[in-house]
Amino acid sequence: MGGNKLKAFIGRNKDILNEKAAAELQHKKGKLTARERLNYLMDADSFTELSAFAELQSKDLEAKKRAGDGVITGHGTINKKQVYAYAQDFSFMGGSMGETHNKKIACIMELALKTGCPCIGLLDSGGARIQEGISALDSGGRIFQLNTLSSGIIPQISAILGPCAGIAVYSPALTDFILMVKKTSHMFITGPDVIKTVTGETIGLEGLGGADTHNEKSGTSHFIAENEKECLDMLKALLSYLPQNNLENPPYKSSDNSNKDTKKLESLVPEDAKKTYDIKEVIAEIFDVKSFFEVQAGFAANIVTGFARLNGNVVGVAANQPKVLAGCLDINSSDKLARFVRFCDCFNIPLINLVDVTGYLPGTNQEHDGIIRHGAKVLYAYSEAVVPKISLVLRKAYGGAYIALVSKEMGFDKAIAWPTAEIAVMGAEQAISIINKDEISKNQKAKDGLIKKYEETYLNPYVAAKLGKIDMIIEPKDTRIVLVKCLEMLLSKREKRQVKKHGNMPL
Amino acid sequence: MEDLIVKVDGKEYRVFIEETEEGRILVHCGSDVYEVETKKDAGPSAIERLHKSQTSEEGKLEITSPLPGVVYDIKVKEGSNVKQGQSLFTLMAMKMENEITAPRDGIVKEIKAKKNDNVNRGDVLAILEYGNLKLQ
Repeated sequence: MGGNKLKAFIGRNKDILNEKAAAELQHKKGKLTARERLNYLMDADSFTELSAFAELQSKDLEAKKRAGDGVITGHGTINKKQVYAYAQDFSFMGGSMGETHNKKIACIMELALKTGCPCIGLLDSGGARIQEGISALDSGGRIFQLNTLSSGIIPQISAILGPCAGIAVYSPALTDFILMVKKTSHMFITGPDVIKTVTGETIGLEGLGGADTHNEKSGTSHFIAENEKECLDMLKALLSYLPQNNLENPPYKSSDNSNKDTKKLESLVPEDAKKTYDIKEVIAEIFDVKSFFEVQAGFAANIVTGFARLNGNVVGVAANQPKVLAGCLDINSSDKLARFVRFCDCFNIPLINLVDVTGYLPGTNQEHDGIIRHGAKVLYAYSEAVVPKISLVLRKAYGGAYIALVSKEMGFDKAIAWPTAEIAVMGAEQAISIINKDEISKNQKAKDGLIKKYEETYLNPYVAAKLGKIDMIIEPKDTRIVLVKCLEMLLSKREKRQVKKHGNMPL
Repeated sequence: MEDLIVKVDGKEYRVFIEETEEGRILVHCGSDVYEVETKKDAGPSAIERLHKSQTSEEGKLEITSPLPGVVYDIKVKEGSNVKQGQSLFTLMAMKMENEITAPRDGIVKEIKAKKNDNVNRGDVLAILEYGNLKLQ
């Protein structure tokens, strides 16, 4: 063979790979092209493009059509593991989502689901392609359905690397993790112009739906990067903690200090329960060196969630942050925690809690905004989870927060406490004012003595230990060794649940 | 569309800068739209200068209480220079000493709370002034 047909094909291929127009547009704005992003993300020479010649079918746009229809889809390897990915090309019709564009994406999503491989979206699109009308919308619906059907079966990750407006935001919103880049990424349903017309509010792109907004205010985004390359590096790092699909265990990476003593914890965590400290320093001390990968660092900072390794095994860490809002649970932290716990349960990642919580944040806006139904999400998530669940109480664990984060009857496999732990229904002063109300009203002076007596009797781990509610009381210096043993004992845990379509989780 | 705060003749305005497809520069201020001429001279353009000034903006920030509690300790005075992350107040809440820190470098313009004040979430504790405007 040889001759014209081969030459023509090579020519057409060259056209497809010709990045000049895309490069000009994207580089001017300090952005990478779709192809550059995929090449950076994937292992060298591993990317295989699919549907490169697919074109839009709409007669109205006949003149504008181009091979690929504005999105590059295919598969490759990241750190030698197979993944499927698509990258939208903003240089073609603003990366808009037309029918063929959407069908290409749906195609690789189906393949990812069938083969049990993570699916990654690199988004950079102005939204639905208006000229293609309802076809554009409906084919977008197919993407959402695939996101939902794949949810909990394969990890789905979205990196927002440009605008993502209107219906385009719903695919990322249905995926497991969203990464955004400062000043580059913008996500919103209605843009500043429409908002100005309808409500009269003036707000810029960054303020409305930029990376900081979604990482700190709305809690939609999970990770924030300074630039695109950093974003893609974070994506790769995230994948290194996750299994390929829900039938596999997360990847093991050996550590060399399983028996390290954590004496430093004695000075990191003040015995005076009034003093605060940074729980992230505690996390760094307990888990494998530099293994902690925080999720949603900017949102609901009163609870710290993230992946880490304990003696090589991936775990999901949830810890109260006493430095923020006194480590209380509130609406945002409940949402953040419940979502994280359920993700870990989907993908066989054991859960470890570091507990130091005084309770739920009081206030009428919390109550009116629904702390009840949001808080219930945490209870639901932990009860539902079948992965190993270990809880370590550092200092306080009162009331409902105790049940949500520690209670063995609610499903925690192991509950451990430090000698400084205070496990009780509520704090001393509050309890006394209820139990000894009559006594105090007759004699105010008795109050201090009663508080002291309550503290000595109830605010320690021994009450709970005597009742078998706490399995072990340990010294802070043995924390890592004990947690490693508990985790390794639980790795083979299998728990059955009654089969049902799905539960009715409070939302 | 970019939104910026510009200072004209000493007054601050919030404006939107829009570059149209034809390359015209429109400045939206409130409900007015102005078209501005861009001069290509030896120095940086007005827009570039405005962009630069954005990073060295000045302004005032309210330091508010993140949760209900009692003002236990006030660590700074009016006029104190503070660094980002420096502790300004200690708030006793949920039986813990919560540090309220400065979100950025600046000067404490005004302290609005007294020791032992009961504060609610969102109550203003202090006003912080930051930055210095440098327009070339």
